[in-house]
Amino acid sequence: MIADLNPALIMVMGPLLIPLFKGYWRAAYALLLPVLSFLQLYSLPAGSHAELEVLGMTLTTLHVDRLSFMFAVIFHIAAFITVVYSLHLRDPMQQAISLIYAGCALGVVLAGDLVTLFIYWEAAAISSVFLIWARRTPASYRAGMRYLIIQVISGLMLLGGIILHTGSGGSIEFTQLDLDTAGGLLIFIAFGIKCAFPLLHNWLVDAYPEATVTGTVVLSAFTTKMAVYALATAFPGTEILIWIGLVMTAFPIFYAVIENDLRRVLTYSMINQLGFMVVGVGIGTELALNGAAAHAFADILFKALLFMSMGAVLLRTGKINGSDLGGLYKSMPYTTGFCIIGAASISAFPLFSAFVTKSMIMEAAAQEGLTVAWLILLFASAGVFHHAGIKIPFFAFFAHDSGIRCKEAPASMLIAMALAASLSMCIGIFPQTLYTLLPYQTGYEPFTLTHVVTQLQLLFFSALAFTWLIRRGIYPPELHSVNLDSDWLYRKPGAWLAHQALHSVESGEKGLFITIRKLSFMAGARLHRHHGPKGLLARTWPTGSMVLWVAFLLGVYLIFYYLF
Amino acid sequence: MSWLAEHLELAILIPMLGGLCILVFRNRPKLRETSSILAGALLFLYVTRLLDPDTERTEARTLLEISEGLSIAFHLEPLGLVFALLASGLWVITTVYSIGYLNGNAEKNQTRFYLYFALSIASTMGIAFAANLFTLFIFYETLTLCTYPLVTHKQTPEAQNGGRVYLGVLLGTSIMFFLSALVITWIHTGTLEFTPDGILEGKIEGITAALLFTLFMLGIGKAALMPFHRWLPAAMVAPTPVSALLHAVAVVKAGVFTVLKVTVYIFGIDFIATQDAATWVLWLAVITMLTTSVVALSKDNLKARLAYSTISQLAYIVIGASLAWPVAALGGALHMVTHAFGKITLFFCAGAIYTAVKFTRVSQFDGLGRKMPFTFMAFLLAALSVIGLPPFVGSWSKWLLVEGSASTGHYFVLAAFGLSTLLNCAYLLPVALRAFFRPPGPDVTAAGPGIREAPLACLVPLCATAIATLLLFFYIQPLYEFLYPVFDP
Amino acid sequence: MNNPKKRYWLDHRGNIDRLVYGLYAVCAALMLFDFFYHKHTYFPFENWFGFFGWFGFIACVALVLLAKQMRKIVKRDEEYYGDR
Repeated sequence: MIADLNPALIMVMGPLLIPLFKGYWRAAYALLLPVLSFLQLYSLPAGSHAELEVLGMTLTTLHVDRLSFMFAVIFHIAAFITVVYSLHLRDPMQQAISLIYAGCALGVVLAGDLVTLFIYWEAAAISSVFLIWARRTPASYRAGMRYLIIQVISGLMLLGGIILHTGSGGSIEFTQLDLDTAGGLLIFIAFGIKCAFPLLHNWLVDAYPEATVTGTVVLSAFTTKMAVYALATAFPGTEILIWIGLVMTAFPIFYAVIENDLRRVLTYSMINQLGFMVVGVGIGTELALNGAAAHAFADILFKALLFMSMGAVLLRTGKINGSDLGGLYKSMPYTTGFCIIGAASISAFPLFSAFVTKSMIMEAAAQEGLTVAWLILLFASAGVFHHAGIKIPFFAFFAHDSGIRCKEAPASMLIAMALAASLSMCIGIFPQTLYTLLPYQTGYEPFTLTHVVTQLQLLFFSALAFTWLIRRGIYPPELHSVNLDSDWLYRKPGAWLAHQALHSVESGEKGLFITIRKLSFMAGARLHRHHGPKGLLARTWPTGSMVLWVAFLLGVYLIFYYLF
Repeated sequence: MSWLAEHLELAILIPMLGGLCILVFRNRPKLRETSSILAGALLFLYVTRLLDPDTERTEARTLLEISEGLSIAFHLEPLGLVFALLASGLWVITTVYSIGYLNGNAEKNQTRFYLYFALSIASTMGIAFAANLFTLFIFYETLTLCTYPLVTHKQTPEAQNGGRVYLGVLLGTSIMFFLSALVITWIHTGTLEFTPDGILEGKIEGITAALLFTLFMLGIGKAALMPFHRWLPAAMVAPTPVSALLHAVAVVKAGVFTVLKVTVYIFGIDFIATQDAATWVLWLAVITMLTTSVVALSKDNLKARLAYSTISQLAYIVIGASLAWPVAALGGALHMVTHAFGKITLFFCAGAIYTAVKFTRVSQFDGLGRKMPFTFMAFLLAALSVIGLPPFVGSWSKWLLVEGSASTGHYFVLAAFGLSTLLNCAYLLPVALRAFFRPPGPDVTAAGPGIREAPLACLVPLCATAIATLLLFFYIQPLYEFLYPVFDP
Repeated sequence: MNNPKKRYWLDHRGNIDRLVYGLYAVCAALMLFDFFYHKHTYFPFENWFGFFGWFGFIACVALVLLAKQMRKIVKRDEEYYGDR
């Protein structure tokens, strides 16, 4: 369409006009933006565009290759779906911010150099936090603040890493990086924060559930997936990523089982799914990288679908805790149906999306003979079904009837869920449509008899375990509670330490001033003896008029100098 | 064109003549304000006419020779021109703002206010175009004296207290340290001329150079290095337009401008690096940056918080100078500009809030954002720029500063920049965010539904400078190229 | 809005039992299916009879039992952080 125009700019700049539109026009305009941006993306030839000279660096602000194209495509789809989902809102700020944030994430995956990457990286952080604050509760205000600080830390690490990387002779180009250099390591950690590496993950679990109904859906799609893209570009085949990824797949499911806030359950489940992608990037074979990219693609859809269904529940009932919900299938049958499709997709039932994407990562692990890794992934796969596939629909829509009777979700929300659900099933039924987008051609075939049967065995016996545990009363009940996670470190002892440090620095600064003033008074007292009771500094107004005279004389001098 | 460049004293005369008109029209407020704006516009026009990519620096032109090597002289060079552009351009905007502010708050003695404002700008121009350290020193002192009546404008005991600290610290440091450093330099070199690559090469070395550099930096009290930084919070008793232009732009930037001039044209960046002259100052600046950021966090009074924030940002520039690395010093020079736009916006907003609802404390702002969306939106944009987050202009100068600290192997400085950025987030962002995202507090509720934005004369300038922080992000390259030769001859 | 008195299919205890028995039947069928086809495997243990079935069952039971124990350590009152 237009040469060198970055599609991300359409999505970042365009929404600024959203508040000017009203009603249907606003909806139409908001829907048009991702479409326009997609057309622009589609028309761009592969390779580098839009080079720019800044501060002695040559930036490649736009670079399209197979991997970035694929992420760009799914980001557009996600942006479109989230716009549809948010059409019921009367809050133009949220609608605009959602698109701007999506545009920033798009800018990240289309960035050809590290500086552009950094700029969009930070911009995504800043724009996204408004989706949390937009809920306007004290809890979301504080959670947003914590979220922003951690996102900024990630940005700072990226900045420091880039500068160290280029300082030691590295190229500014965004390509494979070396983890053994200080710069590479910092960049790795920066990506790791956004990708919710273990112990760096708390921001996600802390903040996403505090966002608005639509905010959580939008957030779930972009930040972590752009980090997966960044890892896949910069650190493919880095072995440590396998182990990091494995921890990510395993530990959150324990939390998910005992968590009460169903949107928080889903954030733990996000980390679990990200773990699969990280393992894929870590294995680094063509099949594994394909798997990571494909799973990111599928995950955006089914995770958005699950968050959308929970968002609808929150919107209609005002509740989101498993302990307060139940029996909603009676009031929200469509939402229930979509939620179950999302649950089936994330659990990798045959004919649903994760079945054809996650299996590539498992297969790649098996091909490389990573026995332990494969077993942990298998455990995590069973766990996914357990906590996301069953727990979410069960406690929200079935379980014991909470007595809540509400309206079905608004039409716009149902349409958005239908879109995501049908795409998830499309991928599951016609995997080749997705595989053509993948970076590599591997000829992987998901529908083998072995794969279908073993997967069904795994899932149905997991369901059996759930049923058995529930009927025997062993299953832990949903309780109103907070579960300590690594954010405890900075919310309790960290906050206390910071408070102490702040207090002592503050009083130190005050003490310093008082000491200096005392010293100068002592010096002043000596002068005072010689210069009588009315010192220069004691007089206030005369000083002013004296100044005037000095300035006046100077002016007169200048005028005279000028004339003669 | 060349005639204009040869008569740089015009830059001082224009605001002084403006001051004269202000005096003449002291009983005709409309004419008085018009002449103030006209003088600003004229000065800005004049300074823009000096912009010429071909002439990088002009020969010094002496107006008055006091003795051998001691003269009042002016010259034109990129750094000074950028400073002059900045101060004169923002003067016009601030004058418009002042009209809204002073009338909105029914301030007394407006003639005196406008007059000394004009004189302060005249002194600032003298600093910007000074061709030698002596000239610079003279105007540096006049600037202190001209701003004093502005600080004590309200003539309350509190204002006089603040004024005493202001004058005491600024005069005290400049006479005790700056003047001594100046005399030492003169004795060693026999000249105070601003010369590319400095004048001290071969004249002094080692620890003496380090001592002299430290003496200079402590002496330039306007750059507010600890422990001589308290004058800036003390100056916050002044009306907000004063804080905005003078204590976020003209006066403090005169301080860091002097720091950069001394670094580049008296010492020479290479000389500082080879003699390792700036290490003490570097440490001091890092400590200043972090300490004042923390103190800013503890201040509930918005202007006090902004004052401490300014001190910490000035330390950025001093760090840039004392890293003794061209890229870092260039980053410092850019930071002088980028921070000016951000900080003047923040002060404008503080003044607008005061004008509209008389609130001064951050904790009163809860829920105010919906009543004053433009003011708080501008505050948010400017805060993001001051923090140094893209896509705001502050991020570029920070980038160069960080790059400089990494290139020179000062990794603790790099880490300190990171920490300071986080602290910036923690004390600047909540100001706007509480206003937008917290339920209305008791003060806002008590003020009732009648809360409205400040007058248009306040609102337009603050929106303009806020948008500038965003737009300049995309147009940083010309400024970078213009300043580049100063640091890399 | 729906009628709160309306009884749905799942409100009958018997229907739930029917579902559960169905699940048992499917599980048994899947387990027995292992006799009738050749598994393409990478690891020897995959060929153990019904490996995926009992792995899934044990994994989930272990997951829940462990998570239940975890509550003893990490569970706190909802007001713990004081911002709810």
